[in-house]
Amino acid sequence: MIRLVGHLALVVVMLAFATPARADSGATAGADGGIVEVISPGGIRAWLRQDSSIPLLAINFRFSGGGSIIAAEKAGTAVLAARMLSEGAGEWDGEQFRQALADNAIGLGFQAGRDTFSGSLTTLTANRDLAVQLLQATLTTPRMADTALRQQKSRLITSRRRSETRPNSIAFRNWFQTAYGDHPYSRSINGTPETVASVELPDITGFLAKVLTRNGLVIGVAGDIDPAALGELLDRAFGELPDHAPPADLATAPTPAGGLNVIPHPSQQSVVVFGHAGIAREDPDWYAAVVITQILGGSTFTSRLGAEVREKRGLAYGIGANLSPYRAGSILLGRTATRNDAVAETLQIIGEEWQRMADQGPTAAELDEAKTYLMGSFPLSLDSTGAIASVLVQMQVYGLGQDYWTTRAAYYQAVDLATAQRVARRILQPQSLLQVVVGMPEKLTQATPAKITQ
Amino acid sequence: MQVFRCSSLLLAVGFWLAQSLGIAQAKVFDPTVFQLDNGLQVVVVENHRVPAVVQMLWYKVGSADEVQGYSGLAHFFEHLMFKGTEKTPQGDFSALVRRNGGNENAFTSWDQTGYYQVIPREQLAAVMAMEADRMTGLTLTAKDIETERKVVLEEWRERVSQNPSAKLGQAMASALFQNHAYGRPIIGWKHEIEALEHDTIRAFYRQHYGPENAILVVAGDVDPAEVKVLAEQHYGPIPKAGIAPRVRSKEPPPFAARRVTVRDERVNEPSWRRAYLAPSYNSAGHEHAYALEVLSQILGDGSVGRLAKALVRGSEIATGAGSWYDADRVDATALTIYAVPAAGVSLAKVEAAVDAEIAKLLRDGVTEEEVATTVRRLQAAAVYARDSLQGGAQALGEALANGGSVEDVEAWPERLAAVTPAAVLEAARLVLRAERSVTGGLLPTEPAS
Repeated sequence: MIRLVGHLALVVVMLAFATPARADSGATAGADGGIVEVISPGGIRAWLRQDSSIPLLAINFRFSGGGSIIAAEKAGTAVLAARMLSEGAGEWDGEQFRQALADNAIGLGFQAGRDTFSGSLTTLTANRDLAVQLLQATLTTPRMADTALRQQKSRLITSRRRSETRPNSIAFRNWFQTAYGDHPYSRSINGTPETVASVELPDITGFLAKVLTRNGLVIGVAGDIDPAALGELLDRAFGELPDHAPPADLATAPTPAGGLNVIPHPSQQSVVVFGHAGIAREDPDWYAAVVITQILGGSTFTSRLGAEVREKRGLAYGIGANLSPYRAGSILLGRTATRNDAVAETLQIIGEEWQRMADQGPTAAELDEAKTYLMGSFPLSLDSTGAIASVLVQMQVYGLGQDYWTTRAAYYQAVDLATAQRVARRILQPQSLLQVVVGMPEKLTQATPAKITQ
Repeated sequence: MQVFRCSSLLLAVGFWLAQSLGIAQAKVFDPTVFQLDNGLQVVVVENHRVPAVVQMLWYKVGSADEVQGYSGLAHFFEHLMFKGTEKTPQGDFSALVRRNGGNENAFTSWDQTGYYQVIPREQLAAVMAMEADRMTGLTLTAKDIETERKVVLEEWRERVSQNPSAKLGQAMASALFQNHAYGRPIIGWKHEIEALEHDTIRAFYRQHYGPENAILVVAGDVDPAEVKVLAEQHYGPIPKAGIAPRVRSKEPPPFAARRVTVRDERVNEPSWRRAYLAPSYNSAGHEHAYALEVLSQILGDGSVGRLAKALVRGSEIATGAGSWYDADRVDATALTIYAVPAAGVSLAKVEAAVDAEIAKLLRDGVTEEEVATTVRRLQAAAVYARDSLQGGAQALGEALANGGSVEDVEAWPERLAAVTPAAVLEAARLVLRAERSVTGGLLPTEPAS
């Protein structure tokens, strides 16, 4: 601890020189959200929202490049890489590493996405020093033992095999396969039992060498730490990472074509997945598109789809649709499940509601209600340290300002009825809906003539 | 995308997780507690980090309070609580919550039914008024009931009929509880859900929904004195409903090891489980509950537990192994062990490996260090539980609804700290006995010969 104090003193001084242009002044929560940018002596940036009311700290961080940069025959590599980073590092072998996390209540884990590779560290203030040592070791000297890889492959293969008989997994997998053809988005980043089996250690270390770089690294921090201590922490945790360029962006994904796939599955109920291309997060119409999606399918209790399918007709327990702005191609995707003899009716309602919204847009009352929901839900969602750290990462990834906490409401406020109608017409394309049904649907071919596979 | 206007076995595991994390407070929730003249208990947990508040209203009625033959009633009724009153037509409550950026839901378990809203603090009075109103004011038309029955049946199809693993869980619960209603599914048997009559449903409302059978928990950016004024104003005028105390069957001493097998054509990877009848915080033998919590961690923590070490990373015959113990129930509960066999490994082999670990534990006990690190881990999780609006509300509401006290929740870390290796061994020898157990297997359909 004495060593730490010594470093700390040094860092405070250096910070004063290194970040003369720090935008925000205070480190306490205020109307602006109290977000400060911290630049470490070594030049690593993070956004911080300090809150010392509870002695814990959350650090979320994101590297560019995820499961989609893996070749088709090695799919699953990124997911295995994330898991292998919990299998020991530096002086800790796998068992010691697990025990150190468990005994000290430290949460440290990695997650592969389609476009990104993310990590999070959660620790009590009292164990912060050890937590940072573990993170640093994980990023720079992971053990990568053969036995650990064998066990992780076995686990992933078992779960992949299980998912092969789960209607939800079947439906989503088929939707992406159909929508994206040869593009990497067509495959699950979890791979198949066969591709997972083929992954070797060099595949994993090769992926990590590409992805784990300070260049493009985005960090969000919330909780019990001041900017000076964070500056020192950032250098210890991330300072030894290389600085090369992150993986190049994927080619733009093709626009999914509309259609209907029916996949027979022994069940009393069919899972229905439906969707088409969405809208990029950076698009000026993004906020209007979120409002439209909210009204159409945001919540089963209050959306148009929920009202028509569940509340009026009792056809489903849940139904919803939302936007996923993947980097190479945004999608608007929904899901429901209904009894086999109601699939045709449910698909028809979805199509009609899609058309009605595209033709007429929302009513003034719907628009107003959705806007106040979207404006009000954001502050309510920030009730935990981890949630705040996660939002700080997203704000940086999407190039939103540090004042987004206060400016955000204005973006939604600006969506007027004319804009909503225009954007509804722009994004909702009933004829382009790609629908996948997994189950034993009745009367479906007559009701919706379209291509039937399998 | 998922809507949880319900509970299930899965959600119950969630409760257990929330409990084991949420309750671990060294007198940190430090709630303010009072009772209204009509019997409503009120618990206030202050948390001023965000200008928000959660209102949770817990009723001391769950699936285990249903009369035999009417399974699924408690859960079905939970759905109907969203159907509107004379003052608040259907949809208006949800709309108020949404308009303010909030969220709401409800859940049903074996022992409780709960309703909650997360809202800006300025809206507390408005949601209190509506929650109080629907305690006795539901309109419940025949059309409401029939539309919602369809929704509940879709939920049953989604949670049960689609899910072989849920079927195994139900088969095991039915075998484990030979006399107690915990053996029935929370969501109900399909044929009984289909047959629930309107008069039965309305009678259930009168029999179980009233102030003296409820606990109001308010957590967030509030002043307890203010909450008291609001609670008096909105809930105070509701008269006592004359609700009868709970009547529960007790499990007889078990005497037969049981075995169930579920075969399903949708299973391509087998799995194995074993449940042992065990005391809860509130049942006979409750003095062993804390030692059992430590035991379940030592044996079955998914990462550092003995089973994971031996089966997943030692012999590599499983890809996952662990246990869970649902301590917060009104009556006797279960400690359940699971294992996922690695490819090509038989259930018998996995079972033998689990049995070997159990035998070793029963013979040699657990070490001082195992107990110390486990207790420390559980206690450390206490701080994390304060890191959300709902942590305290969940732990306190559930404990009170199950017959526990605020003191039980606040003293949880100390009671854990008092657990010794000898106490863990004693609890293990009491519970981990063949005649208290059901062993379950989930397998693919047998190939036609």
